[in-house]
Amino acid sequence: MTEAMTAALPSAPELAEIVDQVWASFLEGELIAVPEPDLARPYDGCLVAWVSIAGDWTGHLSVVCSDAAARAIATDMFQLDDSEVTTAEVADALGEIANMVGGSVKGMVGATAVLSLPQVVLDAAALVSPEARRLVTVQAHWKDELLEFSLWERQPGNGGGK
Amino acid sequence: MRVLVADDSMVMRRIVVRTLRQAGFDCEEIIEAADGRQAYETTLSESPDLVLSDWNMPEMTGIESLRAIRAAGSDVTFGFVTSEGSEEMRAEAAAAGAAFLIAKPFTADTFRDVLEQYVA
Repeated sequence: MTEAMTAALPSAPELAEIVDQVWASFLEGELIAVPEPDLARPYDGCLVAWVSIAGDWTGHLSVVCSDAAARAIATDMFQLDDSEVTTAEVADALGEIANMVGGSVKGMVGATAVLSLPQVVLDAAALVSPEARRLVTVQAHWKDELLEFSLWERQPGNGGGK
Repeated sequence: MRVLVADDSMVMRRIVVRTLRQAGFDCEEIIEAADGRQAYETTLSESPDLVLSDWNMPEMTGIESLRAIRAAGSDVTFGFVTSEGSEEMRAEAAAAGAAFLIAKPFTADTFRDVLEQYVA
């Protein structure tokens, strides 16, 4: 990967701004940024949603949060009571968050890039991203829950990481 | 106004409908499609007044759906509501016959500003 391609990636503040725009449009409550993200935090009890970007830059955008946070996101977006939200609706809402943030990132990394449909895994701790390394991470508190947004760059031959 | 909302995300279909109403548009009937092929087939069978479609969907993408709709002879007002809003995509959408492209995230004000010239 060239420096020019690296330069096209959003910085952490730019990624945070993209997330803030999504939150301001579709969710209630303020996101409070974590100044120094803990990259080693365990993903036990968390869900992960991601979209892949393929083109001049290839990688993926992931969103990780607790089950409680994911349910709160779905409750806000569907405007339902917590007891009414199904697992499918939770996955749908979290996937759409990844889709919106990833779509904005895609617009920054190159005109020829292709965005995948969102994927969601209910057990983030079980997920390994082979041949990918994390380049940018933003963490924020929302409704007493921690949300994490990361950009991963595909690197064939790399050992991979969480 | 009869509106077809096409998006593979359930929650985004709901948000689009909610935003239409918040923007003050009177929707007498909402028809939903969960992928591009459904959007194409339902547009031809139901003849809505307006189609609001995601771009990135399974079966057929939104742009493939639009091209098929135009090839079938429909001149329905068709607009994209999508997470990707690059100039290249806007040009591709316009060339295929889209009236507009609204990028996610959006607000009711965005819907009002963009849609009022297309909706009676």
